[in-house]
Amino acid sequence: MSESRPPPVTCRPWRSHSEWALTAAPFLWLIVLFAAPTAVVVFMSLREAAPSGGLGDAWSLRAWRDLAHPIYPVILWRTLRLSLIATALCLALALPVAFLAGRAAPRLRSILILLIVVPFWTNFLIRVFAWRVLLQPEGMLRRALLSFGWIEESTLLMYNEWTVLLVMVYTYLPFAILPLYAAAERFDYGLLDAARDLGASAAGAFCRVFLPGISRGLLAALAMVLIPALGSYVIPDLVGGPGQEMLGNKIAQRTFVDRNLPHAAALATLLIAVAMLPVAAAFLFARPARPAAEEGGTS
Amino acid sequence: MEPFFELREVVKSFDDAVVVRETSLTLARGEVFSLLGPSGCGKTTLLKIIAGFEQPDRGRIFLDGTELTGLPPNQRPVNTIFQNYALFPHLSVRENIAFGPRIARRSKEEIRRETGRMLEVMDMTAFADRRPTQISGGQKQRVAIARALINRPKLLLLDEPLAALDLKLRQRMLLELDRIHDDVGITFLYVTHDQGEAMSLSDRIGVMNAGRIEQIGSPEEIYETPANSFVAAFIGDTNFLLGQVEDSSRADYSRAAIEGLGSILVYNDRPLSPGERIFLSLRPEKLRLRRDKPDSLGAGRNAVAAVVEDVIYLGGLTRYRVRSGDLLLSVEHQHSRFVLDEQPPSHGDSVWVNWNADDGYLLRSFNESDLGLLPLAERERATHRSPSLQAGPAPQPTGRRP
Repeated sequence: MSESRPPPVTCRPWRSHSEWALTAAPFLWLIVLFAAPTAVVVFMSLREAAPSGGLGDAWSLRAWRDLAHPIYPVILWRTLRLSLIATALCLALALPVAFLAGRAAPRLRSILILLIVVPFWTNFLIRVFAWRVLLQPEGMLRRALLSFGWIEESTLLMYNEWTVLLVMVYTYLPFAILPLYAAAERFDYGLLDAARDLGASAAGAFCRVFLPGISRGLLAALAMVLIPALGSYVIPDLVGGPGQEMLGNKIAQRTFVDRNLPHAAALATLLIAVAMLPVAAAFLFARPARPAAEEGGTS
Repeated sequence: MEPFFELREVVKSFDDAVVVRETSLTLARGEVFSLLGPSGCGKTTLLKIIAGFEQPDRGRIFLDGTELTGLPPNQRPVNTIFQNYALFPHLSVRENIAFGPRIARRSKEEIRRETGRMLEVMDMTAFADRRPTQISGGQKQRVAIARALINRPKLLLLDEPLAALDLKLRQRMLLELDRIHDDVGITFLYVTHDQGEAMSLSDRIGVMNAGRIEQIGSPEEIYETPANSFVAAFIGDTNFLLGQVEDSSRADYSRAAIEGLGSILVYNDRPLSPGERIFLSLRPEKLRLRRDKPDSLGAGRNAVAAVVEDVIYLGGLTRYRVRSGDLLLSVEHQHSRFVLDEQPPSHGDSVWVNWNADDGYLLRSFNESDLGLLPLAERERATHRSPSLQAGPAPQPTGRRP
């Protein structure tokens, strides 16, 4: 069919022009604000550290060799573990919210979304400090729990991994809810009826039809939570103890305390590489969802 | 004998609005039954109650000796063809069809064989690996049917399954549904607002209005002997003649004074007594137009003088609107012979409308608002309204009503 009727030639130049113009702005944006800074970070990691705290004049692999220090596997593993657990918890908590919000009446929906977005009106640091106020050893919560006799005098509500996880989940939950809600809103809930009609239980319909139906939202939520979680440093810094240091804290420490910029840059590059993994995975998984024509049947 | 399927005094309301009122219905095994009614009449709610998506406030549901009331949808031997097909977009055609058997944990080999057979029956083998977004509306329809039938339901519910298709495809799918029913013999409960679909497919039709089934009967019964003005007006076109019995001394015909028309003969569908108020439904195709006054009327024939106001040529037939007395009558002439030389009645001509008194049917009740359901009613109001846009108060719509 297409051979017999070639596309009208007249609209080609206009299209390519406008496409180019449309792409230029985001392209420039990406170059200036993403590619260039990343390149600068990689460049810095390959320079010598100057005693003054700046960059030296010579090339050096010293910063990368220093990453072999035995502390780093421990910290990297902790960063990955805490981030993955926090991401899993965020998704698990966000799914029911998105499922219900997606089928709620339009008025109720906007109220729900507003409630989810409201915390963003307060600065992130202030919100984490608020947790500190709440959880600190002399704080109201611990005092109350102590007076009820529900915790022992030795129990602290802060400076441990649970608290770090709690505040991470609190912080990143909206980033999981919003993309999942956006996907759920577009999901045709009638499909769940169809699945039930064909014999699926409520849970079966949820897993076999709802989850695949919002798969793109799931991937987006995964990326939106996991990537910033991997980079967290304020949360472990403010509510965690020395045993909860994450990669971000090390980068901060090398930058502001040790004044070793190349080392910090090497760590940052490592973090970028780690964070790229889920993105690459998401990209690979998301790919087949669009062109399905070439796919073979699975049965 | 116990009926195959039974709805017993089902009631359903949402908030304060009663959607289904005390509805009872029985189906025989293998029957094709249509619930026909305008949108909002409660037919879809009734279907959801049968499928298990809605719970009735009161009433019970039985299918093949077991009670369905209260069971969740997945535990009912009932499958539904949804109006928008509701195919799973993330699954291929083949996987869509195999969905039910997989949930039921049938063996891999059986699923493969059954799915293959369904694809073949529906002529979809070539499209088995496509996604629902990559096939046409008619194909989606067939996949939806295959996906339901592969579970061998005892009752198949069809919720306006053809509404989303264009006319030609709808007619083809209608024949196909008929063929499928002949093949599988499953009991069909078909919900539609399209009388053509209901008439051509069904063994019986239940005409629904405002949450109540107004009449149940074969397509012929529904069309020829409508119970009330709603059924008469909703199915096809008709003329309503309202009047009073003058003389009912004869056994076969009575004489009645029709408001705005005069005295006519009326067949005694039921015993009539003088002074009784009657509501007569007279289908347009039962009326004949002639240029000359019939010299001698046959027994039980009526003739009234009229003027042609409107002629709508439709190919197979011509629809006339003629004014007689205060009434506008709708008349349909079928063109069974091709006679170009003959001058058919045209605008402004004086004609005689005649019909057999037996061809009218006495309705049990009449509701003025049902006039709005007639095909020409809208037009009529429109033509009366348009001059009022320029000047003065709108003239009262005269209508075909006396």
